[in-house]
Amino acid sequence: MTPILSVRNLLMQFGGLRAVSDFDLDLFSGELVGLIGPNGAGKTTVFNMLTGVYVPTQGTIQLANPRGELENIAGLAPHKITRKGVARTFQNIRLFKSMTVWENVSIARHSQVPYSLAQSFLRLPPFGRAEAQLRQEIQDLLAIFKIDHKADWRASNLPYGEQRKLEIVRALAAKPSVLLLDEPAAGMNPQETLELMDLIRFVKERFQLTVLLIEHDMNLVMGICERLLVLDYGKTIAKGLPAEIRANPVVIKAYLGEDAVHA
Amino acid sequence: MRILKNFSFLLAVSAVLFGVIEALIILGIVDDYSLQIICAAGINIMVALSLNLISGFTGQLALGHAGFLAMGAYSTGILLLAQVPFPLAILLGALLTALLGFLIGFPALRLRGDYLAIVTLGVGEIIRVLIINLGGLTGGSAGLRNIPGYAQNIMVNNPAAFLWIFPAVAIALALVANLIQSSQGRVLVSIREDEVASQAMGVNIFGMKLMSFTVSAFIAGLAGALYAPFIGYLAPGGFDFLRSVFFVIIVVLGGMGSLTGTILSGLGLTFLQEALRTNAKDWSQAVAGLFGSPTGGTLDLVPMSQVLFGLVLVLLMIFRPEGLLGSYEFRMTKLLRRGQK
Repeated sequence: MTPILSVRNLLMQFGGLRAVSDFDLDLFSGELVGLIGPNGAGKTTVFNMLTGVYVPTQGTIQLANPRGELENIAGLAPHKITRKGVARTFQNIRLFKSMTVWENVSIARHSQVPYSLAQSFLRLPPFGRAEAQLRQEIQDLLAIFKIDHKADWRASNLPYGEQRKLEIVRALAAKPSVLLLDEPAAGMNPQETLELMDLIRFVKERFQLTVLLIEHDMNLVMGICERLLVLDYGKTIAKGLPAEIRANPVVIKAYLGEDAVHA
Repeated sequence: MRILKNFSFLLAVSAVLFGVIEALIILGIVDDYSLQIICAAGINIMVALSLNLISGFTGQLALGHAGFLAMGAYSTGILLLAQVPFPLAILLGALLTALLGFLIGFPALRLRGDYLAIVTLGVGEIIRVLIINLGGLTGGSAGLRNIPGYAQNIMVNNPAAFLWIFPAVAIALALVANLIQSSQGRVLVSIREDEVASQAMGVNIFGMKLMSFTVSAFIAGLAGALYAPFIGYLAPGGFDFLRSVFFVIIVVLGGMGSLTGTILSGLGLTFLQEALRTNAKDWSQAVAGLFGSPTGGTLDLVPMSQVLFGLVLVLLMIFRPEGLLGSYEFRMTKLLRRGQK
């Protein structure tokens, strides 16, 4: 079975600092994989390389195209990688604050809008019909997440949990095959985290996604991830099932220090 | 369709307003002097609209729009003097300015942050210095004289200019409004809000910024192209950095991201500037009188108009940093909905 995303020997070097090195990852279609590690381990750096924000110093990132063949996407511009099917959310929420909820989502659909700049300027067909259809599609998408009644709200006026949700909806609107979630539960209370776990599972099934997520909340990670990768100081120190990771002394040491292992 | 209704409303209002002013001109109620200021306001509004597109909506600060205005004005002026047919000269002036905008934007927009402000500031000055030094083509610092006007008879040039400038402002407004309310326009605003997120949503931010900047240059160039035959005489001094700042003031005062605000403040500031210019002597005598100098010869308020503008900006930043109208837009559909309630 060929993976949908295959990463080999990824290296990110900032001057003398190796933020991430020898990073390997195979994501198979429909998987939900967690990327964990202490603060500063390089998790977000991995995301930034996968999405083109950073150009890896070395290594390959291959993504399956619609025909199922792997092609290298390392070093492509972020918008090109997104259009090839990798979408993400951000650790610190990055919504377009002054725009409305539906406008936020519409940005992800821009590359698929069927009218040209000239047609926008002059309001020529198919502008009107395409806009109405876009609005309806977004409304339907928002309805799935039960925020359709807030479509015309300013994004910054949404409660925190719904802002996180909107970020996920916006990423989904780009019609990705791989979804990267960067600490989706950050700042959430335990109840909200539980709801988020259901949401992630639901999204994965409903949109037939492969999900890679960074998270610090171990209840969430252990609860929904099928496989885990643990990073520490830019190196992969463990891989495996959640139960194995939980018992792995190397991981415990990375999180809690030497003493905890012997305790 | 909400957006289509707004568009046809804009056209209707423009047509009515045009008819009313035109009637007032014919009846002689709007005199030639007022008409001249109205036309000048139209030119300023066009440039400010174009600046609002790149700075207010796309979030890329540009400080050289007087340079674009000069590029359009001199191109058209030179073409008209070379007997190029009128509409063609206007169109070429605008297109050449758009080309200039594209060529500047291509390297400058790859940079992040405020570099564009510095680059555009520099380019604006370069254009002015080039105009001074390319005397054979531009008339140098003595200026470009005897540009053919809208009318053969110089006495009716202003009414003839109005026939061109008003529709041009309406068209520029319609183009920018249409753009803003399309997917492309939403993308421009998303770039202003968060470049990284915009990129992560599949937006080619460089391409979209370049588009916005080129359209902006085109409209500013069109304003310049219409300015040349309106004023008949171009001097490089009129296109200096202060002129660029004047456009920024119009946009900031009206509200970055409000087209309605740009139009209102463009009109207001053009009239205010003119009032300061013509009445400053009377006012300065009045002020000097207050301080016990009845002759009033010592205090000159004419250069003080710049101080006043500066003061207005400072007060604005303190009390209403989003501009008078913020990002508010006047929309007919809103009004209708309110009426139904």
